[in-house]
Amino acid sequence: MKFGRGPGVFPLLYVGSSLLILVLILWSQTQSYANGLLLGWDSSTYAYLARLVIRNGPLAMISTWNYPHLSVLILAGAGLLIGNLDLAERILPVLYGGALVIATFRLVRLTAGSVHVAGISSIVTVVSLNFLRILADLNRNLLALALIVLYVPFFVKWKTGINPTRAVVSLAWLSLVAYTQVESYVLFSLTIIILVTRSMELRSFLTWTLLLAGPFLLELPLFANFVLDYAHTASLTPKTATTLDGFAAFAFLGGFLIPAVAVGVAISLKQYVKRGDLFFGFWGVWSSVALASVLLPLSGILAFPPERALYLVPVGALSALAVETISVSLLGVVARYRSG
Amino acid sequence: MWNDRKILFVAVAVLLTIGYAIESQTLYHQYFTPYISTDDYNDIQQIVNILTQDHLSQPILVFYGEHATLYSPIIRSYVGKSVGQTYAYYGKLQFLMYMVDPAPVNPAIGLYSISAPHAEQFFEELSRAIGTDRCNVFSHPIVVDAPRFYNRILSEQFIQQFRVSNTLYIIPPHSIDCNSLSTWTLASSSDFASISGPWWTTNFTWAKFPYSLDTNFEAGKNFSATYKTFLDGNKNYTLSVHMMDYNPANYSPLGIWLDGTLLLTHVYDTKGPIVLNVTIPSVGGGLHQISIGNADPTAPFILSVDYLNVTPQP
Repeated sequence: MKFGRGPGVFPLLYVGSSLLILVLILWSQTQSYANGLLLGWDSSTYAYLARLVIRNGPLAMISTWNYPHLSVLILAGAGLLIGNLDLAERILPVLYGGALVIATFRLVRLTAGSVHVAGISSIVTVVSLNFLRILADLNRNLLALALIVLYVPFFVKWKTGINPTRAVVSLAWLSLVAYTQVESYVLFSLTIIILVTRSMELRSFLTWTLLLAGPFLLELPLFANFVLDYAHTASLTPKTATTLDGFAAFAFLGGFLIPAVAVGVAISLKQYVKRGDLFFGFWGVWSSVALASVLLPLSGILAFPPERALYLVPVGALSALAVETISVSLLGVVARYRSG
Repeated sequence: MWNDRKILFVAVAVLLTIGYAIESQTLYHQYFTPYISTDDYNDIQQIVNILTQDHLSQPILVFYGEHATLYSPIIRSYVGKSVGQTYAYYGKLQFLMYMVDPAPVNPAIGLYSISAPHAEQFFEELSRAIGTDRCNVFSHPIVVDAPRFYNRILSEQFIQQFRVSNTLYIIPPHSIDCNSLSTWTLASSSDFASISGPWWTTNFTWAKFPYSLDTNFEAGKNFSATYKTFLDGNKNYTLSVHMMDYNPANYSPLGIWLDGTLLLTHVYDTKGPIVLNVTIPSVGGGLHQISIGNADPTAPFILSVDYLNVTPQP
């Protein structure tokens, strides 16, 4: 398996360790609960919706929802395949989480060019609260985030050289994200638009705008009803969910890692603005868009609790990108101390 | 070769990772929880087993009370993932029978802001399935798990015949004639929609329900307990109030109001437990409000009410 540039034992070591930590955390947290219980608030609802897909068929349910709910369709398929919906609901988040860890490792390695920085990012990711939060029961967020991070290297490669084949692949991939979780997709679309705007190329801007709108154009007959339903659901969103708890915000942004996360954002934005590096650009702009959606009323419009935008902040990647800067700064301090 | 820069890099990375993991670890269990208890799960399994054994599909789960206010969406999903399409209703069982929108009538919903949207979503979903004919409610199995998921006295008399275990009641489809349901008993201590003034409950031997609604206070205060009941516009009703008739000396008379209009003023007469009968004048069909309280705020007030019974007149 190739995780970035160059072979070696480190990628396997880092990713293997991260996945082992992930399994150990899950095991230690779940072994005290009765067998039939599912973790988290939403897991049982996913299983229920998947049961409805199995009973009524995917087309009937897509028509009812006016939306494909890809994660539920996958869960229903996996449940049918292994003959146990509860087991599928336990296995799939681990697979999505594993995919996100591997995708993060790969993208950070492509960003920083260092296997060790990438390794730190994957390990910090699996212990970060926002990752574990979505792993617990927010399957849609987790799958959408994994699909987004997996796609970014292709976006960087194809941004200026998109051809029909790449456009079709991109449209298919973006549709997977859009049909998994529309809120994450909106934030990702904003990120892409900001990244393509920097080059000031009208053709590139229009191409990517059209591609990003593509998933909704493809399901146009359903989309109008979906928007109406969404507005109605937004009106029913509990008021408590639209206000952000300060302690939760502190914890999800990395707790005492917040300075490192801030340094990571600053480094990323600096590299993007000065050198136009799209890998750094993604981390910086994606984090900024997620944070802005919390601070601005965007999360209210999107009808999802503001914490959910915080779950998208890549605490692991940003902290890892900051480690070298922090250690170099400390080196300077040590050098000054030694020189008296 | 290890130089200062590499050593610092590793040290910073290890410190950040381990420090963060230790900091976050205490919060992991907050999210890695099933939220419902093993006892909840056992009750859910019991519901699922009976529905499956009896081939009952598309049940309506009736929820009421603080626990259900928070966890009803999860409980509904657990049942649904086993038996398929499952509906839910948050509110008193009698209101389900008339498909009353739960939001305006349920005091428990107001306790937790998260619960009102759930109740509304349940009701919308159920309304779509039931259609315009409320009698369609009775073509679904109706499930009440009391007190775990319905933490109020089951004042609906007909429910007892559908008891399938110590805590579980399942009304099979088409086993109740929806037009015959017009008599309602309201347990005073728990079926109120709102209360103003001091109150508590007492377990009197004369009371039919486990608790009666009680108050006793000095002059200059007001007390009012309000109950909501569905009345058929084509019938006249009698309201019977099972209560304690105290010594009249120094106590304010008792007042009973229908939709804010005084129906009766009762002066206490030291008769002990009595049933006070009041004729409800012909009113339009729908949800109505019965209030009981002190008729004279300038005098001290005492009250012990067991239940209110609303019966159609022959």
